[in-house]
Order: sequence, then C-alpha cells, then structure tokens
Amino acid sequence: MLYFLRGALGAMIAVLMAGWAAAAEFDAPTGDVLLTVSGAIVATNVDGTLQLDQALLESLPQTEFSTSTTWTSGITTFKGVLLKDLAAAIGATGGTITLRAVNDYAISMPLADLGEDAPLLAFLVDGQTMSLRDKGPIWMVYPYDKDDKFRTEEVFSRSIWQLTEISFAE
Amino acid sequence: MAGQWQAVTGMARAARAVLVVVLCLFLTLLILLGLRIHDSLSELRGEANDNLHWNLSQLEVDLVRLGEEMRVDALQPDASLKELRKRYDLFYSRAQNAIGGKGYSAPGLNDLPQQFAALLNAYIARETPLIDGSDATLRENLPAMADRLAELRDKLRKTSIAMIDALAKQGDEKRDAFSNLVRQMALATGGTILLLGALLGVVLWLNRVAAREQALTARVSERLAATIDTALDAIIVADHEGRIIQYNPSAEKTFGYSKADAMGRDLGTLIVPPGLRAAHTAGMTRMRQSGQFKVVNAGRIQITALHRSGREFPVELAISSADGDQGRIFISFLRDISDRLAAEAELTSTRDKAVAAGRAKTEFVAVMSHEMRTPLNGVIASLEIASGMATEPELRRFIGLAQDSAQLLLRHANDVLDISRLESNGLQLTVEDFDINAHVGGLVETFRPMCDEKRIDLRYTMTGERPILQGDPFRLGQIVRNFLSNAIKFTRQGGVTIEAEVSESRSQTRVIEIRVTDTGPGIPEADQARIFEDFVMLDPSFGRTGEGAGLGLAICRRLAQAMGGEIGVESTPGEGSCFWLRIPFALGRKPVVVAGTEDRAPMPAMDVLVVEDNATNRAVLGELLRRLGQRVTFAFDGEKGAAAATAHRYDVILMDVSMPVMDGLTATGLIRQSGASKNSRIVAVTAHSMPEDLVRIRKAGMDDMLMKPISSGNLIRVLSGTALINAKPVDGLIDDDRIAELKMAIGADGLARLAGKFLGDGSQLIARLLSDEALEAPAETLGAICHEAAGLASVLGAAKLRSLCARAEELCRSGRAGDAREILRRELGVVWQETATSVKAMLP
Repeated sequence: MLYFLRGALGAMIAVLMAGWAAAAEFDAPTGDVLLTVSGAIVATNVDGTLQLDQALLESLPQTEFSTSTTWTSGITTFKGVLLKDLAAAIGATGGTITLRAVNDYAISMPLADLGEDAPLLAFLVDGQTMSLRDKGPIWMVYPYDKDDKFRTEEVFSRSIWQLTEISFAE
Repeated sequence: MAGQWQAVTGMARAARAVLVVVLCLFLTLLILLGLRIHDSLSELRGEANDNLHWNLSQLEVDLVRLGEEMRVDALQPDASLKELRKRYDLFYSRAQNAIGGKGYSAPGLNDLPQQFAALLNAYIARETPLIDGSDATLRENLPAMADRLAELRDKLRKTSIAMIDALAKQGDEKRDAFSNLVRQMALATGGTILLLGALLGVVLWLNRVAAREQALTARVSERLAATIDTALDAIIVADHEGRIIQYNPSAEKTFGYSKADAMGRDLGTLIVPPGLRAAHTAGMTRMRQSGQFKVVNAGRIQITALHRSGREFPVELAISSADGDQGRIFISFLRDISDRLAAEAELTSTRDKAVAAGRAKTEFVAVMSHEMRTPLNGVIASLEIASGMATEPELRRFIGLAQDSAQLLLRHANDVLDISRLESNGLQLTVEDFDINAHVGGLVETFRPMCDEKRIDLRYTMTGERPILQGDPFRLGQIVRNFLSNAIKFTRQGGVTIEAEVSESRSQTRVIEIRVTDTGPGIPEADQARIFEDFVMLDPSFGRTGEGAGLGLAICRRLAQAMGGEIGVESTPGEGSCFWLRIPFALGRKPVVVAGTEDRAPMPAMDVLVVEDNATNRAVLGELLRRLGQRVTFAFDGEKGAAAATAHRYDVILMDVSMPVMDGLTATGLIRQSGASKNSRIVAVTAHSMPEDLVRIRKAGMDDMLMKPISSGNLIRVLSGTALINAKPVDGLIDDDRIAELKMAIGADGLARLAGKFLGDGSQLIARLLSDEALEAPAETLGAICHEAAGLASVLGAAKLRSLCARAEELCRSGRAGDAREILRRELGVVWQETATSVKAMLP
C-alpha cells in the first residue's frame, strides 16, 4: 500500500516535472551525440528531435548502482539517467517506447513499465565512458542482483546495449 | 442385533478416523509436490542467464555481417573502412559476452563454453591489431581476414551445435522430471479425491445412523411422554430449584391445577401444605448445598399434600432424581391414598370389632366355666360328704355315679376354661426350677396303679443329661398326663413307654423331648393332624364311655405352643401311637431343694403309699411328696391300696377317704388287720373335716388327717407325726407360703374359689363358735368346734385365726375351758374380721 502510494506520488511528480521540463529548453549538443530521442516528446533541440551529448545527459538527474550481469564477470558500477527521469524531463506523453541499438537490435516496452529504480540509461561503466566494443555508448541496465524480478527473460531481452535511439509513440 | 449394529457403527467411526489421517497424509504429499512444482516453475521462469540460443545466433549474425563487410571492402579499394570497423566492434562486444559473461554457460555443458571462448579469444587477439591498424594494412589483409573469419565460423558452429545438443538433452531431462512431478501430482490428487469420496461415504452413512438414532430417541421420548401422560399416579418433575417442569394429567386431577397453571410454579407453594413448607424448603436447601437427599430414592413415603381447594389429603410419595440438561431434576410419583386409608381404617375397625366380639365371647365362656365351677365344687363337696354318710350300698353306688359325673363335668369346665385362657393369652406360666427327671418320673408313677389294673406295662426311661430346668413344671406335667391317660386308655394289652431325653439347643437352654408310646390301635394317618384340633374324638363310642370333651390334645397343643414348643404324633394303625412333645426350657440356676429347708429339718426318706382315685390329687400329692424327698407309690382305690400295703411295708400311707370300689376307712381297717403295713402310719386325706368325720376316721384306725387342698406344710406335719397344734408357728394374718402353694396346686381360680368357700364356711363357723350355745357347751364340744375352725383356717393359711383356735382347743383339752372361752370372746371376732378382710382381697 505504502509502496503503491509512493509509486502513485512518484508518477504524479513525474507528470508535473514533465510539464515543467517541457517549458525548459535543451541546448543543441556540443559534443558527440550519444542518444537521439524522437516521437511524442515536448522538448526538442535539433530538427524535431532531441539529441543528447554527454553534457546534456549529465544535466539530467543522475543515478548509479552496482550489480553483476550475465554478460560480464564481476561486479560493475553503472551510472546514468533513469529512463523515467528522461521521459519526465522531455515531456514524453506516449504509451510505448521503442529503443534501437547500433546493431539494429530494437525492443519496445510500455511507458507504464518504467520503474522507480530501473531501467537505467547508463553511459558510465566503472566511471568510464563506453566504446562500442564495451557495449557503448549507452547500455540500458537493471539492478539484476537486487531482485528476482530483474532476472527474467523479458528483463534480459530489454537490457539493450550500444543504444543510440529512443522514440516515444502515441 | 443392537450389539452388532453398534459394532458396525464403531467400525465406521474407526474407518472415518483412519480415512481422515490418510487424507491428511495425502494433503501433505500434495502440498510437498505443489511446492516442488512451484520450485521447478520458478526455476524455469527465473532463468539466471540470457538465452544461449539467442546469444549463439546473434554472434553468428555479427560474424556473417562482419564477413560480408570484409568481402565488400576487399572488392572496393577506395571504400571507407568505417563500417567494417563498426561491425568488428559489434562482434567484439558480442564476443566479450561469451568470454566473460555467463550466457554461454549452463549445467551439463562441461568445458564447451571454455573451448568456445578460447576460439574467440584467439581470433580477437590476432585480428584486433589489424582492425586498429592503418587503413592500408587493413585493406591489404582483408582477403586473408575474410578467410580466417570463415574458418572461425566453422569452428564456432561445431562447438555451438555440441552445446545446443547438450542443452537440449538437459532440457529433455528437466521436462521429464517436471512431467514426472506433474504425474505424481495428478496421482496424489486422484488419490485425495478418492479418499474424499470414501470419507464422504462414511460421513453420510454415519449421518444416516445418527439420524436413525435421533429418530429412535424421539420415539422413546414420545413413548415416555405417553407413559407419563397415561400414568394413574400423579407425576411431577421439578428442577433443582423446585420449579415444576413436567406435570401429567393425573396430577391435574389429583391437585386440581391445570398443567398450564402448574408449569414453572414452585412445587413447595403449589402442593406442599403450609405446615410442611418450611421442612420442604429446608430439605431443598440442604439438597442443593450438600447434595444429600432425605426423601429422594427412599422408597415410598406417606405425606400430606395440598389440593387447589385448600384441602389437605394423604398421599403416597416416591421421589427419584436424575441429571437433567440444567442440573439435577426430581421426579415425584404421588398417589392420593385418602380412599385407601379410609378403607384401611374401616377394615381395621371392622377387624377390631370382630376381635372384640370374639374376645367377649371367649371371656363369656371363661366366666361361665368359672361360674360353673363354684356350684360344681359345692356339688362335689356335698357328694363327698354324702358318700361318707351313706351306708346303703345302693345309695353309695348312685352317689359314686353322681361323683364321677360331677368330676367329669368339672374337668370339662376346666378344659373349656383352659382353652379360653389359652385363646386369650391369659395363661400365666410360672417360672421355677425343677428336676426334670424326678418330675416326669413322679408323674408316670401316678399312673402305675391304673396300668396295673389294666394289666399293661408302664415303663419310664430317661436318657442323657438330667438337668435342673426352669419353667412351668405343672403345665409340662399337664401335657404328659394327657398323653399318658390317653395312651393307657387306648391300650388293652402290651404297654406304655415313656422316654424322656434332654438335648442342648444353646448353652443356657435345653430342649426336653418326651415320647409316650403305646401299643394301642393307633391312629389313621388322615386323623393324625386332626386330633390336635378342638372337640375331636376319634372314637365317639369310646368317648362316650370315657371322659373328656375332646379338648385334651387341643389344650396340650396350645400349652406346648405357649411354652415355645410343639407336640405331635406318629402312629401306625394296628401297632400303636407315639405322642411326642418337644419344649425348650432355660437351664435352672440352682439344684432343686426341698422347699423351706431354711426353717424345716430335712425329712427322712420314707416309703409313702398314696391311695387316691382322683388323678389330679394323685399328681399334686405325688409332686409334693417327691419334693420332700419321699419315695412314692400310688394305688387307685381302697382295695388296691390295701393290697399294696399288705404286700409291702410303707412308712406312711396317705388314704383318700371317699373312693370308689372301697373307701379309705374300709381299706384302713383291712390294713390294720394284717399285712406288712399293719403298724404303719395311716393319714386320712379328705376335703372336709367335719367333727363326725374326725370321729369316724379315728375309729377306723387312722392316725392323722390331711385336709384338701394339700399343702407341703401339712404334708410335713403329717409325715413327721407332728400334731396339728405343733405346726409351724406363724404370726402373720395369712401365711403367704401357703397361698403360693395353693396357687401352684390349684391355680388362681381354685384359690379364689377356695377363698370364697372359706369366707362362707368361716362366717357360719365363727358365728356358731361365738354363739352362747357353743360357749356354754361342754369343753369337749367347744374343743371340737375350735378344732374344726382351726382346720378351716389352715386350709387357706389363715395363721392367726388357726393359731387362736388351736390354742382354744388346747385349753379345752387341758381342762381350762374357761380360759378358752375368755380368749374366744375377746379375740375371735376381731381376728376373724381381719382375716376375712385379707381373704376378700384375694378374690378377683
């Protein structure tokens, strides 16, 4: 119940912030563009899309956690922006999110699946930016060690790496 | 049937219990299986690693696209190598998963993932420097790189196929295990359903049994209710506080309250009369507090109850208690017994009236018999005197007949009196110590003359202990005498045997058994019980000629019963009869001593012949003599007495004066003429001491005179030869010893009779003595009158009177007639008055 309330409150704040953030302007990227967001969003900076470099990403609320993954050995610390924080900041209103990787891998998920602590759009692994060989520039990860619910096939399939594009559909 | 039924029900209950236990086990099994299935499912759902197949296929795709890029770029010398390098990076990234990640490892794959990773590592180590090198070098090496890539793909493919095969096998095993689990689950579920079904069956069956039992209980309750409702007695059930909880129609009738009125009311205030209410409340309280019941389960009690109208009536009450639903309940059965009590009262009163009437009749008979005896005694006495005076043989014969008849009549009167006394329990049994052997032996001896006359044997034997007993020897003797006289009467030849035997019944009690056996005609068996009834004579012809009213044995039976014993007869017709008596007596405390030894010297033992026709007198005399330690022989009449005295020398002969066949005077004459007892002392026994008798007696040769009724004092006097004047000095008005002796010998009635006679005769005699005619008479005449008066006085033990008269007689004889006249004038009137007053007090 309390959890639910917190969730509901969080969602409300997110909506409010989205409204507020919608008024905010994103500057045009100055560095290499790591992520391009398109679709049903309010905030844009380049040709109706929102193009985010590392600086712009770092201007958004930052989240960090450490976990092991099925694809790596040992514990890894991930740092980046929670997808829900991004969605709130850019005033995303759509029902479905589609995420696309460099290798043409793509997944879709409902906006409602965005949790409070996952997924995280990580752009720093152990404090370092990620090359393509290290699953960069952005890897969407979950805190797999934290809970069983983060160790399902669906979660594994959504853990998209070499992420470059996100689009919100109505 | 019921037992069998119960056994079946019991088995069903046991089966139910077993089923429940087994079901629980099955449910536990189901839960365990469910948990295992859940675990398996969790395992399947919670896949720890990314899908191997996906990883392998993605790696393959990356390799294919990298290879294509290599070939395309090898053919175009001026093409950009950027796309090639991106493809390599993507492959590189994917390869890292196989090298460091867990997506390629799974149980059962052994070292296949390591081989796989080693292939990739080797490849990356070789190619990465070329990719990262200059465009020219890269472009130069592209064809060779493409070949090596194809080679890698082949090697990787072989390894991945092996991995997939192993994984498939693993998956099969897992699926088999899971399907096994599901099968087990299904089996367990099926078993559980079967068990549930069985349990349902058992429960249904038990329910049916319970329903049947319930129906039975209901039927029983119904029947009980019907029983209570139709009961004739009022039935009231109350709870532990005394409130009525059940009340049947009979109770409505008995108490007047309808059921609706009574239900819930307090029992105490409803039907307990105000007077008993406090006791009722106390009883209820005590019962509640201590659980003790006074009237509950105490059987029937008679108590008073209250009707609605306020009328109190008697009821019979029985209370029982039982445990009810809400504590103890009390079930009272009450019956109105007003009618019954009334009927009982009427019955009792009717019976009492009947008993009173019967008693009145008995009393009337007793009084009549008693009254008859007084004139009869007069008749007998007169006849005796007359027989003494008669000289005509013919007249004497008639007087003899009249005497016999009068005696018979007296006996009848006595018998009837005895019967009525016994009937009304008016018989007084004396209690005294007596020597049983001597007593019975003496009794028997009084019958010896009769037997001698009939020429039959008379034998007496006593076996065993010969104790001193305590009781009424006279009444015991009465029975034996009756047996004996009957036996002798009916025995024509042979003899009569008397056997006495004492047996111990308790330490202080003895039972005397006496059997009188005769050789008479015997008694038919049919009559043996009847002869003990009143007025029964078996041989009327004999009865007419013999004496008795047929009451003898009936009296004996009652006497024996009165003494706590019994009598009976055993008889064989033609051979004889045996009459027996069995009577318990207390053991006497002291040996029998001669009465009055304190003031009398012991008598020397003498041979005494008693010549007496009257059986009662014989018995009394014999008894008294035996008590004085004398040897007694009996003779029935003068003739036999004379014969006996002639044959044997007797020290003393007691001779009745008037007897049939030969009177005492004649017999004395014969004895004095010759024979063994020629010089023996002969004492006349007579009832009357008229002066002329005395003269006749003296003339006949008799030495002394013994007046009837006979006392031991007189006997001692005549036996020892002491003159009348020297008899024991007594100062009292009446000699109590003498009265007691008389009472024993002739009974209270006889004594009363004697007293009446004494008063009548005495007043005449004294009046005569005090008349001038007598006082002026010559000394000899005056002395004779004084002698007569002294004799009369001695009969009743009037000691003072006798002593006075004896003194006057003595004075007359010694020539001092003047002194005699003086004493008589001065004292006789007063002494007579005193004596008469005392004697009158003895009259009933």
